[in-house]
Amino acid sequence: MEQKIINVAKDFSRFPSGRYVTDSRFSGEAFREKYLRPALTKYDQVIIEMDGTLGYGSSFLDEVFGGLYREGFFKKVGMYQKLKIHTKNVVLKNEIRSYLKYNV
Amino acid sequence: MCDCPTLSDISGFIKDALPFISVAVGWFVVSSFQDRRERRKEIRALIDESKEIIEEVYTLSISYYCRDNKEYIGELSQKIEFKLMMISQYLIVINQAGLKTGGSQELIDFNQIVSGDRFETSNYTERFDDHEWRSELSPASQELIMHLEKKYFSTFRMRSMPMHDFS
Repeated sequence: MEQKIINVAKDFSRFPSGRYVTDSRFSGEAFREKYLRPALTKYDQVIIEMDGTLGYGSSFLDEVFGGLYREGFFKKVGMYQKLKIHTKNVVLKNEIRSYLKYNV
Repeated sequence: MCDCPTLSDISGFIKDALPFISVAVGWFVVSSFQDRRERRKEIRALIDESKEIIEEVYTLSISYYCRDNKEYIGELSQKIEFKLMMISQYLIVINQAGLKTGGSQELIDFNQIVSGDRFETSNYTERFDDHEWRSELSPASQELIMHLEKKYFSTFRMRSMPMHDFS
């Protein structure tokens, strides 16, 4: 089983901010399109390590996870099971679950 | 002849040991009350600090949204994100200290009102006159504070204080 680990702070930015690419280089849309979507398409399991950043705005999280959910990406069988969120922050994890409407 | 202790031996032993047993039990009771009191103080301090940060976030949000903010991503928005992260870290510490606050839907709601929707986006618009948003922001911060207070009082009920149902 091929696994991909994405550490947001190391691979993307310690200061993720903004919703759209027009807002910031480190926006939710940029993370979703450059990292998350390709990884979910290519690998059997994708682990996102969320700790180590300054923080996440809800607009960023909504665009990353809610964005994929809204376009129906997770309707494909087994997509939810591919995604694992690693963080010590329970509140952050629960917020991401609320965007995905699934217990990752 | 049997070497078994007689009834008078046992009662003599109990008589001699009783003061020590009383002291040990007394020490245990006082110590556990002391521990509980200290834990209560520590959690109270953590809740008070969390409340301060929640209020700071509230004020920062008003500053962020209620002005002609050309810089929709910058020092102010990052300060808000950082403070929101701090609140969730405080909540984790409070949980670890023994006050079970759960996953805190109240904090998620507060996060979403403060940093969702048009936060840090070019769609940013001033919300000074957005009464709907302002009428959500204040209750969300108050609900979060009340959630912590409610958990605190339900865990450390004080006999002298009448309990009210906050729910």
